[in-house]
Amino acid sequence: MNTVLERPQIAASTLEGLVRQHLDSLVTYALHLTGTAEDAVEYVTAGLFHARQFPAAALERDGRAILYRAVTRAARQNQHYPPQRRGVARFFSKRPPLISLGPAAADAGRINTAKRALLATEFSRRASLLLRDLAKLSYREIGVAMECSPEAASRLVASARREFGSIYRDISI
Amino acid sequence: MKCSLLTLSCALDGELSRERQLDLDAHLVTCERCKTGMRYLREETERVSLLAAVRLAPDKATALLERSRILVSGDVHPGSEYAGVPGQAVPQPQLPAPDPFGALGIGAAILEAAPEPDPGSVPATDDSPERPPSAVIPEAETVTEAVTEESELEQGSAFEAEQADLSSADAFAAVPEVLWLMDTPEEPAAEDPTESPGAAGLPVPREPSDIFSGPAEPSPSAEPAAIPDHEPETVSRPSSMVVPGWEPATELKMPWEDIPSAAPAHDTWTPELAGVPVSRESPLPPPAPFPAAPPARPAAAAVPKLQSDPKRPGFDRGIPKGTAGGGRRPVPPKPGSNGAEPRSWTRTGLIAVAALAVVLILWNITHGPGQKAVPPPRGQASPAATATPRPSATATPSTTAPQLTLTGTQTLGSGGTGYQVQSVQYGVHGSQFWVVIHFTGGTGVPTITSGFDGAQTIYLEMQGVAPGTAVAQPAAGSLVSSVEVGHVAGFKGAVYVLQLSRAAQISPSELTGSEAGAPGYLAIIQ
Repeated sequence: MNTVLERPQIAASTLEGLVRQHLDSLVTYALHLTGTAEDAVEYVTAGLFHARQFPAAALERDGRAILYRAVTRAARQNQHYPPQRRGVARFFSKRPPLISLGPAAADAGRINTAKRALLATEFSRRASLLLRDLAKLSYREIGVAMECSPEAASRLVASARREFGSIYRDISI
Repeated sequence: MKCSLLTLSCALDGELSRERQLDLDAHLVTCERCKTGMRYLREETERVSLLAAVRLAPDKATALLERSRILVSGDVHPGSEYAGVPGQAVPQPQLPAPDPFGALGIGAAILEAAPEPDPGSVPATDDSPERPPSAVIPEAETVTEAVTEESELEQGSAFEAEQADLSSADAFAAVPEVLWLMDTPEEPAAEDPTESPGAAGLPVPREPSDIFSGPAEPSPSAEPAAIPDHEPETVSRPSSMVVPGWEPATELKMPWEDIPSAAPAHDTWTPELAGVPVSRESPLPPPAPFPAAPPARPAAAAVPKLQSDPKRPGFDRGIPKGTAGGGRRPVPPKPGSNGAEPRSWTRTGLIAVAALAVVLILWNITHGPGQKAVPPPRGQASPAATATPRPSATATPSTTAPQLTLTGTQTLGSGGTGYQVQSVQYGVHGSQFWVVIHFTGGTGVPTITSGFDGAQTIYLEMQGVAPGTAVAQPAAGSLVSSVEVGHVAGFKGAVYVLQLSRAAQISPSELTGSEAGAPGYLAIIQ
């Protein structure tokens, strides 16, 4: 009985430790993926909420990649947290105040040519490019995060670099 | 070795096998194209890696963890260390959170339950030395150095250039059709048992090979597990350079004779870009030294029934757009939208309000007061029947008089000019009050218009007549209480304003051949 009660607690603590270790990277990734600090906070929150469902074994094996996977999926599917209500209930629902990143995200939220080119790329390519060059994930971890094979992740990264470079050179003239 | 952007990208990331890396190094000595491409790739990698990072304050991080319910409010959290360390306060068991995405229903309730205990899971800490090596998350830079033959370094050879030459069409064709229906990315509870132990019933951890080569991957680049070393002769797969409709010479800016053949030999150097599509066609010369991939999506073309089948929602949803072939460049997403446009009741309401406003404006235009015959504003007695309506005649008796509309106007004269008011005389003849205006100078008969502004104000507009220097006032107690020189906007001539002590009517007439020999004007008011 004690074991049953203890195991989820340990898993939650593992997730908490993982999140605390990679939270800055996750927020940075989400910020450059979405472009705004508010969306980044919402998607990171939604992704972390879903990441609680992962078993401890998966977290120990692919912990960092699973966190990025959860955030990527939340951003891809536009999952807000708390979720937005549908219909007329939206007018009567009171959303909690957003967690403001404050000056921590001021520099990262500033738009420059590279970020503009990045936002012009397709979502999957943008995500794979950020996962590889910003978060320094391996192809295997990118495959976990993007829910594809490592081979597909390598192609995705290569095509993302090509598209990003093409757009950057176009708009930087 | 063939020139390949994919190979260069893998080499830049350190994911090539040692043999392939040696081949590439030897190739880079002689190939200027690949040198330039490598330089471009390094620049783009550096640009992305130089994006600013976010450093969250501890309170912000704690608030975010509490918001995502990883950290229950009030817990004693040991910072970045795992719980279970001796001497640390034990956190409270995580409470089952309510369904955050209400549409999940009872399925979400199952997901919210505490996960089943994993018999293989061992409490681990960050700094525990007995932590298994598989649990250590390797850094990207050390991957190629740390893993053995069984690790991902050997997997790297699977996505090397030659083996990765399989087109995406073959990858699609290799995926059983039933697997497309398994792609339900919007339902995380049913897509991967690794994610949802409660829904799966048992927390069975998947092997890494299952994760990466499992059948539930809708990626266009998903390849069969066993990739043949050489293509069989019976396979009539077109090369990436000979896709119909694509003119490689226009993109490569190179003569046709330099374009390699459609089925190159193994020892020839051909650009190989399978799986590296081009985002769009650009009128500018391609800055990158590599030829672009064909604009059409070969994978989608190879599976025509999948392209327009609306019964397969997972087809387009599961495939990263553009990974199987180039389309046009996607529109830059709005921040926060990410392509998905949620229902907006606010927008709908604004549109409805705007439509209502337009309807009201149109109704006001068609049924407004300007379209009706409006009675006299102050209920005065009706003037003579011969009055000519002048709705546009407005008078301003003084400097700040409001815009007035004369009623009961009567016009005399034939357009004489050059006159000046010489004098104004008054006379009482029974119940009539006469106002006589004498002119001097000028020729012809001046045009004089009289009209009422209200019941007790008469305007006399004399065209071609200059006002007199002084105006004599009638005697006190007369029907006309005062006479003033006024001004009407847009009217050039003398304007006299007669204030009446009571409502009356006016009967104007011309005076020709007065005592001075000049014409005059007689207004009989009664």
